[in-house]
Amino acid sequence: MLQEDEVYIGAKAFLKANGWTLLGGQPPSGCNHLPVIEIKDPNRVSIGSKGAYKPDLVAHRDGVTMIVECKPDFSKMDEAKLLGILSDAGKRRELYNEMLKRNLFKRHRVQVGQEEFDAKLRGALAHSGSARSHGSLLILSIVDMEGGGQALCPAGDPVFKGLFQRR
Amino acid sequence: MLKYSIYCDNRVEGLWFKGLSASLSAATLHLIGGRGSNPSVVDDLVRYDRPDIILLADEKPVMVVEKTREVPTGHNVGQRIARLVRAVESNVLTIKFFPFDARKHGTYSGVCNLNIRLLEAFAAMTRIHRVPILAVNWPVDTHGELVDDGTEDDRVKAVVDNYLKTSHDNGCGEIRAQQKIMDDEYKARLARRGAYARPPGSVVSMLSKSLDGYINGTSQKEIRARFMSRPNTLLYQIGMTPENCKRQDPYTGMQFIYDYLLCRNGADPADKHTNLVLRFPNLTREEWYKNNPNNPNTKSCNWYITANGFWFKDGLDLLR
Repeated sequence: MLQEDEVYIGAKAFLKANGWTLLGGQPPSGCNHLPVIEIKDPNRVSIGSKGAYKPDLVAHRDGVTMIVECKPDFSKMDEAKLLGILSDAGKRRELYNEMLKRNLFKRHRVQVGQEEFDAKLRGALAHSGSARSHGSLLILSIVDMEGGGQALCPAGDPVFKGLFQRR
Repeated sequence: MLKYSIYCDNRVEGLWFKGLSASLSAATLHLIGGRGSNPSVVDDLVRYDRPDIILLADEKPVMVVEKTREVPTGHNVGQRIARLVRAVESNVLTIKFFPFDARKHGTYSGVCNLNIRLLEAFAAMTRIHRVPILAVNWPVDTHGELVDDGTEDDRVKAVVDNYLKTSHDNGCGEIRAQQKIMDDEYKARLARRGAYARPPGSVVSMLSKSLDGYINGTSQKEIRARFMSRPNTLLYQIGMTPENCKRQDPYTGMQFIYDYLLCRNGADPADKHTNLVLRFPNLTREEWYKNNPNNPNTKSCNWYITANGFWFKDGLDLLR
């Protein structure tokens, strides 16, 4: 099984090889070139980053924006974290606004309005455990740091159609 | 041909570093482990704290690199300094790659600027240890966002590549060019904000003899005599409270900056023209020592590396 940082590196390589644009994120430790995106709790009372959620990766392709969490194996906690963001209109809006503030769409020539963003925002769990589909989240089954792996799309979600064909 | 080994805090940074120069294409990547689990040359460099990158050439350390997205301003100035000091003390070329100016997001979003005391401290460290410590700017776009299209690495690539291709020449062209860039930045920013030429409010200079009556009786006679032989003492006031007195950042890093800027004149921490005393006006000796022991296995030991003394509510303890 890969370590968390290996899954992170592998997921980045896999997404890039499949034509996705990496817009932001934060590695498990240290820093890389991607801008860090913070989703603050809309009900927070204090200033600063305390309690904020920082996705490991945020990627975009053809109108679909995807939040990716990376772990060595399938993580129930990450699943709950992602579902929590995806099901909360306030947090989705916060994410969109944070990305706008950081000019991330403009910098990568991505045109997406709040409505389309909201409708096509998806979550993915990247890991190196056994490759099995899981509920409403995409599974990125990562096998190495060079971009090897496969995407297991959630059944019945047409939004991913054609988005994992290598360019 | 030299055999390069990259010791890194994590693989993301390790791979980034490996990509900076073709000379590193065959370099092996290793994670820095806990103290005691690395080759002795690596363990020696992580004694104070762990840098992002340590480069070995044929098992000898030749470069330490720190990479951060944070602008060193406010409390961030002192962060990460101890690990860089350890590198220059060990005569290893040191590079800190960070933005000199960048937008901070949040409620009070705005562009933060580098506190240039850091550049001045780097110049003093270079002079004292006779090895370069470089600040390399991570450029930003017109909105103050960090550039992330690959060109952000151009300058750091040039320095690393030139250094490796010149068989680790500390005086190679790109290192000298980078030192000129740092010097020009310092002068230009000082001209805009002259307050940086003076110490900040948390630092006070006083006559050493005026502290005589506060020195605890347990301090050794020779240490006391050496302390008094330096006419002036610099006090760095640290506002830690009993409720929040187990910490290092940013204070332990700031002490190095003030030490190199205002006290040090030699490579050994004892080589000072002015004493450096850390002042804890809200804490007793007991409260402080209990929470910040001189434990070589934790960052807490950084408190004990360079200061001449700690001044608590109940007296001044001399260390060296």
